[in-house]
Amino acid sequence: MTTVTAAAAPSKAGAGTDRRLRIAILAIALIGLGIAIYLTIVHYSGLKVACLASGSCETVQSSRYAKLAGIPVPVLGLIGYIGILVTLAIRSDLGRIAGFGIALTGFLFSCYLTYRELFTIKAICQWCVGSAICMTVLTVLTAIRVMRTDLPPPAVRD
Amino acid sequence: MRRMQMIIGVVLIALVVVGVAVAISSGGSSAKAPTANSAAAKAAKAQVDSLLAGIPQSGNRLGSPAAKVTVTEFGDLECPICKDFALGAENQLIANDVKSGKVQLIYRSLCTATCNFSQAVFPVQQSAALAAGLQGHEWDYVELFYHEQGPEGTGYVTNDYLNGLASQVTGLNYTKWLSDRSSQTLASQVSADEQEAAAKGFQSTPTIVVQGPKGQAQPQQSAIDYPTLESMIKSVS
Repeated sequence: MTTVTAAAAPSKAGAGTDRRLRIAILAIALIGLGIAIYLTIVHYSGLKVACLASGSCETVQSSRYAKLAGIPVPVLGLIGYIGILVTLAIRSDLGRIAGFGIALTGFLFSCYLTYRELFTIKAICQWCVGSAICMTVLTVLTAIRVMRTDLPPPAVRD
Repeated sequence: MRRMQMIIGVVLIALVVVGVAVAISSGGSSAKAPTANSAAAKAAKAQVDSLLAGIPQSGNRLGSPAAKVTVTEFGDLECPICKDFALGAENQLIANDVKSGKVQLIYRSLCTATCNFSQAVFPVQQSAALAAGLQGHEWDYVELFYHEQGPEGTGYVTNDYLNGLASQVTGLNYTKWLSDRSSQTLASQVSADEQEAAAKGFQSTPTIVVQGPKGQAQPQQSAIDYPTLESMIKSVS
């Protein structure tokens, strides 16, 4: 049952689209979270990271860009993905906009890190690329959720 | 309208947050390694002298050769993570376990951070440390290098920088060191360290290997903390 308490009634198709978007965001964020958890475990346990290109992941991990203000970058990713998942549970414009804000921040920072990998460190870590792709897709999906006007307004529950 | 304002606000916040993050991340680039006579270098020298006072050194070894546990670090002097490890867990290890004669510490070479920018400088800088080791001062040199390490990829490791570090090592015969540091034998030793690291599958620095009477602990390829190092030592003691 769908209850609409706001003045503007959303289309049924809009509610369905929002549901599909939320499922897609959930799936991509979980993939990104998995990558971030793996890299965080590798970082703190000192284990060797599984890498397709010999030595590339270690090169990236041992560079100064592997940390931001002393915090390992995978931990920042972990916080970002958890943040996006939390915003999915907030069924309001605030939740959508916050999710978009976190994804956009992650996307922009991923662009910076990818630039550093390509032009400063000169090594590519496939896990970092995977996470960057997740953040890019999440930014697009959360932006669609924010921009669509036919989605359920704040007080809609489905 | 209010919604659009919120979206614009969020975009601006994201840009500001990432801008700050990029500034912090790139921040070290404008910094420089301290010069030999600077206050920072003098403070580093005082710390290193105090840390290593009374500990026997020979070649790349710090500590008593009779110590039952050997901790080997495969490091790159320009690697910032190695610096974190050296000035953190490793210095605690030196103060607590090497000084007491329980552990001996070995420094070996593995090119990581340096080779991201210039492979040619790696044997030169590592040989400079080995040359100090010929006079029983390698660990003074290694410690001073990490204390005064410059920003990665800025080409700060010049002859002046290496010579400046040597001039700070207490008790080092500078003229002899200067002559020794271009020795092909030392460059070959650096190369041999790298080959051994490659044969063992080590690809990142610092890589820590702990060996004792009970065998060898699982090597750790990151800047582990002191409690982890202690538990590795305990497992082989």
